[in-house]
Amino acid sequence: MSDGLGWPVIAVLSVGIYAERAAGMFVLGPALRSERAMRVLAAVPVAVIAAVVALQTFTVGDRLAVDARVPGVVAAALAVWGRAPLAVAVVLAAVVTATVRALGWAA
Amino acid sequence: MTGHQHQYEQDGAEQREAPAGSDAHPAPAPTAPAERPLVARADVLTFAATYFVVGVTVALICTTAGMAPWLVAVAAVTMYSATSQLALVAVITSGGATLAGLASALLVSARFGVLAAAIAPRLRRGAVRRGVAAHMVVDPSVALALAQPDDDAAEWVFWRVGINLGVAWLIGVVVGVVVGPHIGDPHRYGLDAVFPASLVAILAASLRAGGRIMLAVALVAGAITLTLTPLVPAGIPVLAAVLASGLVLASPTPVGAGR
Repeated sequence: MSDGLGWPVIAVLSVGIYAERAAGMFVLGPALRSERAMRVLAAVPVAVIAAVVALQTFTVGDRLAVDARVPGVVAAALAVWGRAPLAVAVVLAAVVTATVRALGWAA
Repeated sequence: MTGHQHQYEQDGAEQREAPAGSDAHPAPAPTAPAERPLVARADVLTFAATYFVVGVTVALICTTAGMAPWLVAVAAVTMYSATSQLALVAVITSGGATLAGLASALLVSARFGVLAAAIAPRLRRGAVRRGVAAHMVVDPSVALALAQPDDDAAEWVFWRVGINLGVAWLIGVVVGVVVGPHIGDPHRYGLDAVFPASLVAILAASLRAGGRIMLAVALVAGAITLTLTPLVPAGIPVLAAVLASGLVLASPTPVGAGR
């Protein structure tokens, strides 16, 4: 087993990640109370989630990649756009991605 | 979820004037029965199922990379960040130094600090309560809570979604550690598309409530992320994408439900 994946690393990360969350909750959040700051903060989840979607759909490690996830996520987006239930969209994403892979159309 | 979102767009004014104190089931829309939840049970269950799947996948990847199974489960609780755990494993298995792995994981999780700051004003006071809330900060719990029209509703949705996802994620990780070796490659079942697909659904709800300016925020954030990903260490692209939320200042009127 690599040292990089041992318990000391996990311990440091656990403390570090909690510190990040607590800093937002107890320091950054209370400090940003102006009307403008509140408006920007309300948009932060949209920016963060869009960024994570982009990463999880179009990247592998540190490079861009278009693979079978793309048609799956696009199918889910279309389903959501058509006001399909969340469960339908998520299952559709997995089915489309798995199918495209099984057919060998994309990695 | 989307149905309720729609309702709030129409009934936002009445919602805000509704009596406070019904924090378990905040004031429903006039046409809805009193016990109607703010985020549909089916949606919460689907998000939970998604986090279960993510848990199984992360457990598989971590154990395959050589992390001790017990440690994978402990990390799931104490780190509570699938993306951060994956970032660590990605750096270490590609031969990176331990310090690089630490830095990468902490950069990836830094977005939770920004999300915690976003939800902080909507939560009740109390250091212990907020201390626990900080650990429950994940992308869906904050996004769905912030979309609620009043603070009581936001708080209730935050805890309900957060606890459900946390439990589902942990069960997923434990299942992944135990039965992982028998599942095979999770990619074969398209499971890597499940997480982004569920986030797209959250995004759609926010975009419907926020209009064009929120769509611009989302598109610019995605573009920043993809542009920077090949150029800078993991985690930084998402942090840079947070800057896109500043675009709302270009909009003349406040956007987003409840603000």
